[in-house]
Amino acid sequence: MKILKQRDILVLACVLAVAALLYFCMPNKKGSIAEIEYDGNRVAEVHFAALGENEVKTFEINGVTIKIDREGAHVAASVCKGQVCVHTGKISKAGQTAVCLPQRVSVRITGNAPFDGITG
Amino acid sequence: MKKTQKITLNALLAALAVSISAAEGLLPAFAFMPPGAKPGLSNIVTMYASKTLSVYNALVIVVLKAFFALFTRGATAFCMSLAGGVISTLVTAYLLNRKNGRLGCIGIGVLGAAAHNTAQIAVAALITNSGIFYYLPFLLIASIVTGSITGSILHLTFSFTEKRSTE
Repeated sequence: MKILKQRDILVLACVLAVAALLYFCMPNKKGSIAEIEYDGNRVAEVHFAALGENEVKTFEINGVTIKIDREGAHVAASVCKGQVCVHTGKISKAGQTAVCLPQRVSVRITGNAPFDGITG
Repeated sequence: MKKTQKITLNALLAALAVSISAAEGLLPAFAFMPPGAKPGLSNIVTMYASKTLSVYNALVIVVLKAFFALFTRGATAFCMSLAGGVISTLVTAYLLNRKNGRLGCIGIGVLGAAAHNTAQIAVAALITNSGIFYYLPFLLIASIVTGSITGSILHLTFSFTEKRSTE
């Protein structure tokens, strides 16, 4: 068994190419709606882009605390062990998802921003 | 190898795989890695088993490891562990046992890790929603890193055990 052959470098390049292709195919636009799902069912939908400047909506579903403000959504706390959902951080682009698999709760960003070019 | 030797080696490897994955769970999250990504060091054990024993012995290890995940981390972890383990073991066992295989250990390790991550993302998408595929590109890049590490260690293990058995 050899450690590295010529074909291996080809394999590495292919995996990298697939990753890059998938990344650039992903919708990269800023979203406007945060959908919260529990056990595969949608439990809440927040049009976060329309929230006020300091307005924060908080949801608690099966031990997972999700906070949504004008800039996006994030999982503030979770009773799960891994804390992967909390470490995901803030999400705001369409297609992004923060998932807590042990608690079967997810928050996903969909929709296009109603306005383009609002910064700050 | 005698049948009892095979069974003993298989049991030892299964215990090793379970303890490695348990130890891996204690590691903190890695910098520059997507959340939830792990090095997958226990894949070295299943790859070793599928080369020295057979693909069936490697699958036994995968199933035992999945039950360990079920008892310690619950049903979701069981499905994820089983799906990722079975798919990546089938891929790596085929590549390792192919005659005049043109791939080295690193290529096989990377493909195994990529198969593992893709299968887990597919299961996660079934449990929640398809938005989780957003993670896939990041996980594929992570699997290049982790697969190279597991592949290199696998190569070291092979060269070490071959030397020992010919002495």
